[in-house]
Amino acid sequence: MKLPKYFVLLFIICSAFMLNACAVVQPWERERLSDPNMMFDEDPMNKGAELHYLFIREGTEGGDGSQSGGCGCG
Amino acid sequence: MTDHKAGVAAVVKYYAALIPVFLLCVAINLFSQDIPESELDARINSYFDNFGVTVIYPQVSFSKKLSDNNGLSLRYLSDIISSASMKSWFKVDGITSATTRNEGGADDTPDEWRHEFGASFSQKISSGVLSLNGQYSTEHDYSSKTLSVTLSYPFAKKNTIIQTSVLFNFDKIFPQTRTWTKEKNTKNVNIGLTQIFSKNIITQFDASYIEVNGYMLDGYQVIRIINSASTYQTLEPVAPDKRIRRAIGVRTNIGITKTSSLQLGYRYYWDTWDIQSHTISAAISKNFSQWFSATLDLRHYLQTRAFFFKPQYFAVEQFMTVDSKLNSGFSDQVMLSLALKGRKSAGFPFFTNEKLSLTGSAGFYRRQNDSPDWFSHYNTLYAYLLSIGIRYNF
Repeated sequence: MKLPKYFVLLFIICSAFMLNACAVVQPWERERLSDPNMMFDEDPMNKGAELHYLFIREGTEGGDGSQSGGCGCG
Repeated sequence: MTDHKAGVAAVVKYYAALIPVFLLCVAINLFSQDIPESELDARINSYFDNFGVTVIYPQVSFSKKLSDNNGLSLRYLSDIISSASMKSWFKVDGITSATTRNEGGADDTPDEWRHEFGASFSQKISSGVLSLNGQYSTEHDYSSKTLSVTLSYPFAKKNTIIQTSVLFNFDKIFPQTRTWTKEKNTKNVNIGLTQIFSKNIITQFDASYIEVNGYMLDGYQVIRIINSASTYQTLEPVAPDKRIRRAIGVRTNIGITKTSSLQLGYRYYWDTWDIQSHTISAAISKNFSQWFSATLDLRHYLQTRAFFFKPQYFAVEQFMTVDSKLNSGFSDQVMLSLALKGRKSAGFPFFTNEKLSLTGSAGFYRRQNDSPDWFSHYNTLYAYLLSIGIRYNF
């Protein structure tokens, strides 16, 4: 399976963000980010149910992100 | 199989045909960069639309944190579809010969009932988390197996998290009204990047590459080619047996105040069937107290049609489909979600346990196609979505 160009582009973007790591938000500064309302798909079961009917009624999928992503507070 | 039964059954099977797609999605949703906390979660989700289709899908999820370094999740979902043949709002139709709600469909059993089982094991490896996931789904004319591996790894003092996943899906489709059994195999690679930009802003980038081989249509749908006023030909739909699907998306969560946040998202999708789509979304969340929170979601979606989709066919073509989800159009959705946590001063005996929480959501979905649906002859689909759940952390 050949990976397309945009994957390479994404890796470049990733690398750029990692190089930007010196401007980090410290763990003790992440109180706001640890709030559930700052998490992506904080309720994955609800998200799964929503995607259930969207994929039935629409012809596309993917690119919806992964659960949480989180604040790295742990 | 008679035409009218095919037409009716196709509406019923509208759901079953895309179950593998749903599986992929759910499997991806199981992925997380953390070891799952110990909890028991039970939900009842429901869907009702103006095409006469009702779906009830209760699900139960159990997660156990085995240690600080690993955890296990189990999940069961039951997908119960009240068939359009029993509930259809439409009277007998001159083109599709669809029956009324009293006449039954092509299946011996009027309802679809799919069972899905899932298991996931997560293990910490250095700073990252590796997850192995498996799912099995079955019903009387379909089965599916899904295996996936996910790795999440944080960098830069956990300001950046990379998530990668590889997923393999193997489906078997054997419609009750056909004599054949066909297969569909899917490979899915997903890469995500989550970046903290400030104390109040976190953003996630995501890219998906999905390669599907095999049978990708609804085995119950039919295409009627009208030769003259009194004669016609009924054929099965035909599609290319390979489809490469790609999507990129970005979402950002902005803490507006100490208790409220705004999430904005955009996704672009394109595939080898010439479908392109744009999705924009916005959600605002608010903690009204330590115990009660609400989220309002808005979503707008725009799609082009597959290159071989036509509302009607007047001659046999190499590829043919009348499936509305491959048609061009747009959709809108609004959803309100509420969460209520248990507390000692709640006043209700049952709800004084702080480990308990209740969730509920109500939504409205509207899809507008550029040409009428092959079966209902409606351009517009309306759907109502309701969900209620209970979660217990232990």
